[in-house]
Amino acid sequence: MMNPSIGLTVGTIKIEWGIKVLIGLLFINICTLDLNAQKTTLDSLQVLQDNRSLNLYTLTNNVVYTGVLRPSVGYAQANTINTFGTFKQPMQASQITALSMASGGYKKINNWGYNGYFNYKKIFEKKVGWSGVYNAYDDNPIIWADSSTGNWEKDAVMALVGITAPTIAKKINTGLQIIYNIASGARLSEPKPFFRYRNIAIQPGITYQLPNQQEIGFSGTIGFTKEENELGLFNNTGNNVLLYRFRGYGTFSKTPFVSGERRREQTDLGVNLQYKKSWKDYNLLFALNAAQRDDEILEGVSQPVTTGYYTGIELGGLISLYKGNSNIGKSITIKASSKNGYIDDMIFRAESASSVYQKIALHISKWHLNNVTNNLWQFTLSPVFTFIDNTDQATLTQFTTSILETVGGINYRNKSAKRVQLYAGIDVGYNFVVDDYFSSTKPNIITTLLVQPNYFFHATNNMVINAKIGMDISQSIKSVIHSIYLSTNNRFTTLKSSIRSNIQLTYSIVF
Amino acid sequence: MKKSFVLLIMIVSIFTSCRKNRFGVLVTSIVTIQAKYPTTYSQPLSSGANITLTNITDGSFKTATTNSDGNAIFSDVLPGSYTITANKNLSAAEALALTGISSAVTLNGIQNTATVIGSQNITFQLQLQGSAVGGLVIKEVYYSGSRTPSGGTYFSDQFVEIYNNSTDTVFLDSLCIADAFGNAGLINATSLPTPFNTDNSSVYVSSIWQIPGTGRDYPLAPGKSIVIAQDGVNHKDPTLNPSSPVDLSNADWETFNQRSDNRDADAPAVPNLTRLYFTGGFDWLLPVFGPSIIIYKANFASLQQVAIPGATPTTAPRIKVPNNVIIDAFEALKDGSSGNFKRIPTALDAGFIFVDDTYNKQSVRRKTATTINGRRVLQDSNNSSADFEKIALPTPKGF
Repeated sequence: MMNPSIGLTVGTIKIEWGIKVLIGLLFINICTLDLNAQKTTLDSLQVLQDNRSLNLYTLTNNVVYTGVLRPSVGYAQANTINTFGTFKQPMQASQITALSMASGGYKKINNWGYNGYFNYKKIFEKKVGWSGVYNAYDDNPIIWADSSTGNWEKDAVMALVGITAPTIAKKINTGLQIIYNIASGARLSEPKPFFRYRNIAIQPGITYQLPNQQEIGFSGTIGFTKEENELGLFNNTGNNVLLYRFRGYGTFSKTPFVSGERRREQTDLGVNLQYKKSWKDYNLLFALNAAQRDDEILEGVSQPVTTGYYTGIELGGLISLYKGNSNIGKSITIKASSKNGYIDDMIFRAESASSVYQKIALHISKWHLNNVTNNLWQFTLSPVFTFIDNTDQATLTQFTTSILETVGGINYRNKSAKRVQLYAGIDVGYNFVVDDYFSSTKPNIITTLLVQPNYFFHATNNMVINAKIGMDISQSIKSVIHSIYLSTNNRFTTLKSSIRSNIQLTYSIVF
Repeated sequence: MKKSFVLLIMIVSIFTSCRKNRFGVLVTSIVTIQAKYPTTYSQPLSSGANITLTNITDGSFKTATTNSDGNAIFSDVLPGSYTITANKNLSAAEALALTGISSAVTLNGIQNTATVIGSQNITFQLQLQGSAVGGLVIKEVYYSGSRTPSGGTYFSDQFVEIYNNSTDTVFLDSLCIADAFGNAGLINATSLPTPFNTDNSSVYVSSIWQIPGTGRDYPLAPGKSIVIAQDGVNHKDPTLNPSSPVDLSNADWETFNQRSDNRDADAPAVPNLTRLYFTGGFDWLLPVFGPSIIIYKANFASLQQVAIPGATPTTAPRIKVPNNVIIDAFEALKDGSSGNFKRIPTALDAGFIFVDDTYNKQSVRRKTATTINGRRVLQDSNNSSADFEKIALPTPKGF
């Protein structure tokens, strides 16, 4: 079993390295920042959408920052997304069509801030193989599946309620946010695997203002998740179907079955510490986060039996510096994270598999609004280095990949017209596999069908091309805003000329 | 700032120390599987046996062959539940050395749930089992009879001894014993060989007796025998024949032929065989000139009744017993020149045995081929000429 102190050391090393990179880049970026430069509700929303100001809420998930930059609006949204292509992980669907309806809003009344969001999503997935759970790639590899492939239908609902209290003693701000997710789904073909998913997260937040425009903050997360799975042969045609219980990255059990029940109980604990400082036209955010996830998997109804444990530990941090204002400015953000996963197997009564997912991402952005033409141009550059390690002690299988992704983007907004504003953006990048390794001393059918293809997915160079167009329509400064956006994200590989694409259409109405 | 940093370090430390060290590292085992021969074999441990260790949870398996110590060693075995199977094919020569019987045999062994829990060295013992090598054989037939002190003939002291010549317990339930129809030789000038001798695939019998039981009521251990007496009494009794060589009051079974005239007395201390078919007189009298006897298992109703060719219509038919249900056969004829009177197809018995004369107390007994762990293995080459020897006096359960 890995010594806990090693995980801490790994995370610390990455964070220290990230700080050194930031310090080097700080000398390059000197700008000014004015958070209140936007004039209209639409301007405020576009600033949030383009990340042209330090979006503390998005970066820290501290509910106290809900009201920063955010105008008091209500909104409703309809969205459809279609994903397809063969460049995918083996347990992902060949094609995904999702339709969602959402509504929400933010309102400040008597110095109390209220934030709410509700989303319903209907998902159609085609040709899903080897998965009988909500999300086969949700870090925890202890899942079950039968060997057949089929089409799924899923429903998901997310509700968020957040509230922030008036400032206490002119220095202390507090808030509380609750997120509730429920989902259910089933495959349309026998043996009809089915899942019910429930998750609730309670996220308190607090900030304390220090002299000289400094502020420290703390936010936490306590989350509880329960996923129940069932499957059963109700119309047995005589075909033998095997139930596979995946217990790592290649280790599995298989049994013939008629029906079965399974439950995954997950507990999440997380903390995020923030330090913010503003001076002149600079805004700096420094944040550290730590989180732990504990899963217990049980089978049976009357006498549940634990079949495995998963523990995930994540450490991370970020530094974000904004200079200028929402019309003319620059930003640089460095995020580093290290996530370790461990599987304790009940049959082996030992830690049988582990995973490492480390990531350091740099995001540089520069934007400029031409006062004469009212054309806004934004340029972004995002190099991301990712390291993945999946190790299975039983099958002696290990794969590692080191990937350097670099994406550059150009976004354009035409803000000359008051009633109709156009948007166009394109991102072009490349995922370059710096290093990769695969070894399996005791390969089996699951190694061949699932683990190695997943390695190939992560160890394949691919090109990224994303594009987005849209327009925002409003009658006047205070009137209702209609927005429609069409976007596409694409990955192209030379491996069998496979691609993975999605096309998304979103219509929003803001009032 | 300094306080905040310390707080951060404390929180991070709490999280990283929350990793639950539930079980420890994965440890594999060295598993030794020892294959053992049946206890009736001359050696305890089986070398050259193919052992398969199959993981119940994922179906993966490993194979190994046992060494000279009977051990198959598997390294790097993961904790879990396994099925152990073994297979060993013995050639006729190997079987002869191990069992005393020259007959190829396949031995198998299985242990359905063997739990490996991750220690360094685990040993399982696997008992090999197979179809019995050898089987029931007719060990001794005392048919010649004896003379009374006054010189009269006495044949009620006949018996047949059946022996478990196999390596495993045999259940005798529903075992049938029958005598073949036909003359044993040129008993008189008009004696003819059996008219059924053109059929080499069956034996035509006159009377059939059966051991009762429902399947597992009457076990017979390897190396043990039963005696079936014509009459289960002490024939040496002064009221019977003090010159008789046998006391059959301890016989296992007798062939009590219940009749309305009570000509056959029942010995109450000896259980009776079931009479399935009978064409004799007042008792099951084996021909003193030389009987042919078979033991077999078959449903009587499934056997064909065949009229004796040339016999009068009132003569009872004989029962046709196919060779493939016959377990063992024995043939005795009148003398050495009576070969053309054989009643048993040569596929079952290639020869015959004979005694010097009738009523001379001589018996015929199967020879001992070898002795393994104290168990005699009787010679069984399907040839009564070679397998049996003539002895001066009968020896019921003599060994």
